[in-house]
Amino acid sequence: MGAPPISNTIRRLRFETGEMTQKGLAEAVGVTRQTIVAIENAKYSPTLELAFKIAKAFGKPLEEVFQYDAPED
Amino acid sequence: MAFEERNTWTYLVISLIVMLIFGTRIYDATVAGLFDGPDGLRTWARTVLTYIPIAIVMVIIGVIMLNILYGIATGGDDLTMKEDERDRHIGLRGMRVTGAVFSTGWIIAVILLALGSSALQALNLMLIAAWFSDVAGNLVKLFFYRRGY
Repeated sequence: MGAPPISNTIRRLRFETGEMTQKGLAEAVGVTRQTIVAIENAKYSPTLELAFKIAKAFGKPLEEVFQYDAPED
Repeated sequence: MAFEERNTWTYLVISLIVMLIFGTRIYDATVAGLFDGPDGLRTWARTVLTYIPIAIVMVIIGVIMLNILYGIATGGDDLTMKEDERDRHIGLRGMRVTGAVFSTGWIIAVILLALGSSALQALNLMLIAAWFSDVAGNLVKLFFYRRGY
């Protein structure tokens, strides 16, 4: 079981958004801080709904927050 | 540590304690012949049913105490009591393992019964399978929590 093929720029966007904390982002989107940590470290791929909530929290389009790293065939 | 991960640690520890105590008593009673005779299985069932509410109460107390201690240790800094989507996904993975382990144990018990084991032996094996499946499910959940997912 490898890492999910989805990367993200959440850490950078947090710092750019008034140095938002992981806890602050977690509270904004309704999940635990540990889930935000797992997402930032690309250990966990959020559901579509959560991904949209995170993007909305930063005021950014989804593609700017999450990137799909297609596996090589 | 997430709320559900803390709870999983509690479930695991309580499960080990309860089975140690309960398993010892069942074993001693079995060796002493308390479950033999025409009412033996009924006595076994009543013994098991007595320990179920005890285990439930121990889990509730354990969860409350662990969260209080965690709150004191962290200064209340990270004391969210929320279950989110990652918790539910990890929970499902644990349930899948629990189901598989219990089903395997149950089938083995039925096979042994068909091969001539006593009903008491089969029931004890199912009890062991239930306990082991609970432990296995919780261990799997903790593995995913420690790994991130």
